[in-house]
Order: sequence, then structure tokens, then C-alpha cells
Amino acid sequence: MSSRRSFIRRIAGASVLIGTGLSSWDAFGSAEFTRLTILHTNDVHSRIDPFPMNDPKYPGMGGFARRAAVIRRIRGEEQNVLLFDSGDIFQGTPYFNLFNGEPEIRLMREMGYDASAIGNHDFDGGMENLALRIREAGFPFLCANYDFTGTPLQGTTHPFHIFKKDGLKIGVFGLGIEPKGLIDPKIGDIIHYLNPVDVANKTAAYLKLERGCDLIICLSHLGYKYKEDKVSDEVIAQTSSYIDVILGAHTHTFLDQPVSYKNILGNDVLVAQTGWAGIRLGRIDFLFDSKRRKSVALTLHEKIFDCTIPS
Amino acid sequence: MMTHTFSRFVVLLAGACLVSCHSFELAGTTDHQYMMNDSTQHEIDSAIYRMADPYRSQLMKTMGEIICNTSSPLEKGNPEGALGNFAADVCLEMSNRILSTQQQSKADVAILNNGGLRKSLPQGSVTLSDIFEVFPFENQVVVLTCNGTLVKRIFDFIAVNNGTPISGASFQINRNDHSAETILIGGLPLDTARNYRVVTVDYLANGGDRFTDFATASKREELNIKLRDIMIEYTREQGRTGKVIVPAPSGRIAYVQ
Repeated sequence: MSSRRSFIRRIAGASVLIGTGLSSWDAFGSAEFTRLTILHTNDVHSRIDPFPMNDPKYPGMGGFARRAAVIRRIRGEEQNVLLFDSGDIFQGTPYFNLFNGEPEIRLMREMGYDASAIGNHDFDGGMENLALRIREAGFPFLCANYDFTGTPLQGTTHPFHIFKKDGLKIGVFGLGIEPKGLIDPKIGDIIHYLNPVDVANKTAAYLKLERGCDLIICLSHLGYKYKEDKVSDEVIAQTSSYIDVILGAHTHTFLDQPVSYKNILGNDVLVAQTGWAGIRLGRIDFLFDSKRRKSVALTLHEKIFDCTIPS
Repeated sequence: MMTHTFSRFVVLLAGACLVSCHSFELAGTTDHQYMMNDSTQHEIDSAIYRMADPYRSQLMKTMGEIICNTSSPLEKGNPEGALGNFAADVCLEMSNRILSTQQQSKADVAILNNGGLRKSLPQGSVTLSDIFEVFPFENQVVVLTCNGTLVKRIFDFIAVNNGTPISGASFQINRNDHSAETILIGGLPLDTARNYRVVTVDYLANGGDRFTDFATASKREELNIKLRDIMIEYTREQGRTGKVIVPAPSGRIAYVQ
């Protein structure tokens, strides 16, 4: 594969506004607005190299090196960029079977990931392995509703982290899915799982009211929504008060753009998810005026294709 | 549409600028109707690519081997799919081979889950890496002894969930109440008075993917082999003997009114 010439075909979101002659960002180019760019992935599942070209579904798509190039370009264009993953970093290609997550974490560290949630498959190499990878990562793993007391993961994760960008305070917290039926019972049974709805509300309220965050982001591995009665991003969005954005995972849902929900106060909550395997990079941009008021969210999805041409 | 989006955007923006009380609220979002710009870039991050090189070369050395060939792509599907049928058929056949060498009675049915199949198999050459990518998990094969009533309950659960990979059996899903009908095992109608031997993976036997009914099986035997390893053994054998993998005819799970 390395001998092939690879190209990235970037299908970037070009705003309708551009189509109508108004450059979306130029309209707010004045100093009174601060721009924040959120980039996100989920369920990358050890897809370090693109899918093989003979894959029936995703030929040549994805790949860390291409995603890294897109991220680097965006960082060159934007001043305030945060990059998140919503879990299931591990498991899915032999990279994980052979190296237990070491390359995934090394590359994510190099790509400048700012934080990650924990997915059920991130436990597939065992708790000690995950603890080792978290220590190697150099970026925080966030999970507010797993209590790891007495396990090898005790003290390795954080419920939330507050990022400061250009005077903005961005509160980010993580949610993990109920382990039962998804994580090896030997591991799942020693995780004390807390109700995500309660934890989300308490954590978001703390970040908003006590810590004065301007934007609150939830990195969720709960899944987008379910037919059956099961907590999901949709449920969290509708029962929350202070979450602004939920960057989701687990259900491998390709949302072409974030879906807006009303929370219990009648405010908007955006729920985003970018499928899986690093086929897309999600992007949401926020504008804040000088009073720190979020004005507009613009969303773009970078689709990461590899139009490999055989040499 | 464009004009509509544009005007809505401006209205929201105006709202955002004029209403200065109520701080920190999301004033609005755009309509999210973005045109996709089909621009092609020659862009990879070479530092990131090189950082993976030591891992990549080791992986290519151990996983790049072509082990078999297929006549067409095998993908998963509901209520059945070529990939699921293939995986369940191989699971049943290879498990029975192991059971017969141990002078144990054969399994009647194999039951797997679509969630355990993580990629499609390509048409043509299949590498060891492809098999790892379809079956990345370390799941072990187990044989459960289930009475006929339990088997019926499991097939009803499968019907509610619009199918799962099975082998050795066929049934129909009633579209009205989503129950399992006309269940045939080994070509004979399900007999609730007898026991059946069901081969599956430990993940499902432990109640994974909501297969909680498996917990009530009367007996559990470990074959001490991973599902992936029996898939590798089978596909290697096909490759070695020059047999091309052809999807099985469909029809083991069908919908009826």
C-alpha cells in the first residue's frame, strides 16, 4: 500500500452562504467575535490505514495520515481549535491485535487530540492495557459516570476538563455506556456505572454555574438513539439544562450535520456523530461575541477519502 | 432552498446581535444545508504516516498474505446476509469437525451476531488482515445445550431483532407480530420436547448483545478455540485446495405476512 500514490479527496462543506455570495465567516470577521472550531471523531476502531481499495463498502476511505493533514490545515486557518474523540479508539484492524493500541495512541498524541471519551471496546485489551495507553496519551480521557475505584484505572481518568482558548472557557466531560452486555463481564462487573442522565446534569451544571464555562461539550459513548428504552445522546440532550454540544459515538451513525434538540430550558443542544473508522472528520464552529455569548454555530463535515491511484 | 437558508441565517444573526440580555444562550444555528465541494487534495501528513511505519511493516509482513478467494463481495445484512451466512456456516462446520474428533455429539445450529462482523469481505483476494478485520474480537467458540423451548425463545428474540447470522436452521419472521414461525432445524420442525446443541461465541453465551436467554442453557462446553481461528483455518484450507468461496443461497431467514 505504501508504494501507491495516495491523494486525499476532500469533500469539504462549502457553505450555502458562500453559494449565495456571502462568505460565511467574513461576515463576522471583526474583532468583536471570537471563533472556536471543534473537530471530532468517533469509533475510529484502529483504522490507522485507509480501508483497502477492494473493500465493498468504504474503499480507500479513512486513514490517520489524511485526517492529520486535514486537521493540520484547519489548525493553520483557525486560531482556536479543539480536537476530540468520543471513544472506541481500539479494535477493528490487526494493528490492535498485534500492538494493543500503542500506535493509535501515539498517533493521536502526535495529531494533537485534546481529550477522548472511553468506548466499550477501549477495554478490549484489558484494564491494565487501557491504563497504560491513557498514561502514554498525554491528553485526558474523560468519563464522569464510571467509578474506577479499586481497579487498575483508578486515578487515570477525569470526569471533565476545562480548556481555555482566547479567553473562552470550554467545559468538556465524558460519558460511558452501560457495560453490561458490551464489556467483558470480568471488567464490566468491577466498573461502578452511574446513571448518565444524573451525572450529565450535575457535571454540566457544575461547569456552567460554578466554573463559569462559556460552552459545555459532552463526549458521549452512549449511542445516538435507540428504538428501545435506553439512555442515548437524544435522551441526554432532551433532559439536560446546560449542555451545548454532544459529540456522540457507539452507534456508528453518519449524521451529515448535527441534529438540534431542545433541552428542558428550551435551549438548543447539538448532537453530532461522524459514523466510524475515521471516514469523516466532524467540525462545528462557534462564534462568541465580546460578551461571550454564543451567536452562531456553523457545521461542516470533512469527508476523508483516499482516491488512491495505482502506481 | 438556498435563499431560505440564507434568510433564516440572517434572521438568527440579527436576533443574536439585538438581544443582548440572556447571556450564554445559543441564539441559533444555521440550517446546516451545506453544498459539498468536491475538491481533491494531494494531502497526507507524512510525519504521521512515517510514525506508523514500524507497525505497518510488521503488520504487512504478518497479515498481508492472501489466504483465499471469493466469487463476490460478502456483506452483512438483515434478516440475513452473505457474510453472516458464511460465518455461521463455517462456525457450525468447523465446530462439528472439532466435536467429532472429540467423539462428542454434533451441534445442530450456529448462532452469531451481526455486531461481531466488523467489515465486509472483498471480491477476489482475501488477506489474513481481512479476516482479522471481519473478526477482530478474541471471542471463543462454545457449545450450549438448550431445550426446544429455549431455542424457540431465542429464535423469537432473533425475529424481533430482524435476524442474525444462523446456520443449520431456517425460519420465517412474521411481519405482524415479529415472532419466529416455521422453524426448521436440520430440516425438521423445531421439537420443543428435545434438546439442541447450539454453537455460538462466549460473548453471546455470556448474555452479550442482549442474548440474555443463553444464560439458561442447561450445559456449556468450551471448544477452546477462537471464532477467528476457525475462520482462518477454514479459509486457508479453501485457498490451499483452490476452492473459491461462493455465497450460500439465501432464504434461511425470510419475512412472511
